[in-house]
Amino acid sequence: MDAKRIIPVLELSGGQVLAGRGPRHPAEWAGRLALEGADGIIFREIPGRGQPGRWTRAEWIRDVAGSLFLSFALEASFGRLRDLEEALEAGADRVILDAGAASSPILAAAFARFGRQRLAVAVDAFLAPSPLEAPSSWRVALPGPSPERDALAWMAELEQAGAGEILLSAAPESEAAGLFQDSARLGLSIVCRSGGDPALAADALLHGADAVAFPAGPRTSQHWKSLLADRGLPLRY
Amino acid sequence: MITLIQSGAAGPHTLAGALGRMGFEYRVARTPEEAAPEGLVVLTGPGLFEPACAALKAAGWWRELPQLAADGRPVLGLDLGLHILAEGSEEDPRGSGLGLIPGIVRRLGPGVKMPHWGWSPVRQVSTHPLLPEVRGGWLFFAHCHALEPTSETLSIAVHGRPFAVMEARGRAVGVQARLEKSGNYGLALLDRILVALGEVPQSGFEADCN
Repeated sequence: MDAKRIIPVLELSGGQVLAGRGPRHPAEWAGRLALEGADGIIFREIPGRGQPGRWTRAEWIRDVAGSLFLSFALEASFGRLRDLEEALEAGADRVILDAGAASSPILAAAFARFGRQRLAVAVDAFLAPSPLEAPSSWRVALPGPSPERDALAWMAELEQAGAGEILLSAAPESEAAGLFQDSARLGLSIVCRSGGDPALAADALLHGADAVAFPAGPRTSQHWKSLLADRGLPLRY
Repeated sequence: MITLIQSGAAGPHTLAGALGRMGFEYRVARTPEEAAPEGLVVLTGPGLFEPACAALKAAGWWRELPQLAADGRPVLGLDLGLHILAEGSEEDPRGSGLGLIPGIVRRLGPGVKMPHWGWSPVRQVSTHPLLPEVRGGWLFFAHCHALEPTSETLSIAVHGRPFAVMEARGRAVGVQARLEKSGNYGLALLDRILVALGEVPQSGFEADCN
């Protein structure tokens, strides 16, 4: 059985790490996270913060690729196929598309060029109350004029379009075990985007999620693993 | 000196970084003319089978690699590189591989999540006089296809079904795992494979490979 992957998420802007203390260069931070027991790293670009242009996207990705001996992904707003190509060619193992890119022709074009191994999509699901006596349902909001969609139907559509993994956040997390259980049947890897509570993340992992992505900083990966090991989850040490 | 084949736009950044960290001399070569005059030739992924083969043909590697192997040069295929060294792949049923390692690469599954993207325990199933054994380690995989194990397969992992992790025929060696993405354990294994294939690091590298 594969190990459940423990993945810190590092927020960046202008190529610089946004975390309060520590080095600003993503490669230096990544090295630290690897030593702390990470099974992979997600870099999440937050537009419009930090000093712009300190390192270009291609520069810092090349630096990370040359010095980090773990897989890593870039989560960003990819407005053009070329942006995504640049990230993968610079050495990112995966790109994580937002709902805008995933609902545009970019996903299908990237699938044809790179295959599903290198493509993931972020899905932010929320529990919507249903009228009358019907049970609540998990929904997603997509950009543009599209109405809200059923979260599971949207994820199945993404799988068909070429996504190799879903980075799934659920609000509220405390009620999401069933969502992760249903998502696990879709046939692609599901990463639980955690708000930072290991107990809730453990529920998602026990219900079929393959990995947990959590904010880098407050707890190390080893700390996460020690907490999750108590729930009997298979982990890599 | 190690020759790292670069086919397509993406460079083998992490593998190059790993070789540098381990103290091996290497050269990135887009064409056979750029290859080092001697030493190991490494073909690596990630990528898709058909376009990767097409790029190798366009650059002249497709004719050169079997000739280099016939001349006794060691060849190492990592991830997609192993698929290309094999006879063919279900990923492109009309195409063929280089045939340096026997077998057809087949799709994993059915009934498992695809792609197989994660850390799997690896088990040694037979030994090789030179190559290192895999003992109880976790290695990282990122693939949808793999060779099926045979009696000559050196190590296996399981994703729905057992698949070959390390194969060797003569001086052609293939590894399905992304060793350069498998942390210190992967680097230590890679280091020992490179030494077994005749490369000598210029500086020492110490990592736990047990």
